[in-house]
Amino acid sequence: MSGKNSKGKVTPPDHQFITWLFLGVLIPIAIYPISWAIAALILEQPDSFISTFGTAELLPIAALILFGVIADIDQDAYFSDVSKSFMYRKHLAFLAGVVMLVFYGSLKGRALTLLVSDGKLTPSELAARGTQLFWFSVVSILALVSSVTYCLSVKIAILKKQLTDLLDGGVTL
Amino acid sequence: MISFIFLAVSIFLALCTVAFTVQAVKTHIQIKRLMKRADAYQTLSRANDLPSTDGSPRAPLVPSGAPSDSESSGQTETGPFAAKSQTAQTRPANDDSTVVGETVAKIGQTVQQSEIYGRSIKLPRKNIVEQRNRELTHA
Repeated sequence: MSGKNSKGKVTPPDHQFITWLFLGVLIPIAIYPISWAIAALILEQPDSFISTFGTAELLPIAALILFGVIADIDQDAYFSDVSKSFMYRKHLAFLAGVVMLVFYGSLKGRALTLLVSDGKLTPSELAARGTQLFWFSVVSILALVSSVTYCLSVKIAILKKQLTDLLDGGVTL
Repeated sequence: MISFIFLAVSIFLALCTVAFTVQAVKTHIQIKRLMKRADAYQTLSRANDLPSTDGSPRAPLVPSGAPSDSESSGQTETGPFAAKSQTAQTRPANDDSTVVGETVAKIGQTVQQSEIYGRSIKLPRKNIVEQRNRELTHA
């Protein structure tokens, strides 16, 4: 539903959507590319990509974004009727979030084991570890991107529903 | 083996990303159309609320294609528009044209909402306005 500021003016839903996009998605995600750039360019750390993204830290962020969309659907369902498709999307978001948290638990432990090197590893073993961490990074990045696009589609659908509700109620946009 | 599993998961996630993006873009295009229509009717509503420059009653602006009704004035509300009569009593006697304008705008809004919800109903906009004109003429 559309919120109200202190002057009682109705905040357009599209403004809320843009606020969510910046504060809820872009800023939390932007921390990791920035830290990667700092590690690679300023600190000149080798394997900065896999040490930044290989620990699958993006998975809990993706889960949090998915759970946030669940809260939005619940809030919208509290104020107005929602269709069954929204309920399906809500359950799918919850399921995907839980799966990501479970994967995060397993990948995180494995990644920490792979990152710690005691100096007795052969080059081939190091390469195999690097490959695994690279795949961890790729999967966590893709999981985050797919979660964000899923949440975007759900949020845009909610925005469309709120706009139609506003037009139904005759509220001036 | 592990690489193949991760490759399969990555492909699945990439396909999901593409599907969700397409869905989001489709819904966004629908929202753009919705906002355009809402802006058009909002502009129309504001224009109808403005007084004319010389202070005389001004014929309301109606959506294109709908007949205007500026000649009917000072009539009693009867028939299917009786529910409007109580609000009409608070208006000036020569302001019935505004009532007709609002009726046309509401019909347009209903058609717009039916398009939003995907229903393929077509309201007899012209017939309702003509019926309204006949009632005002016979009264």
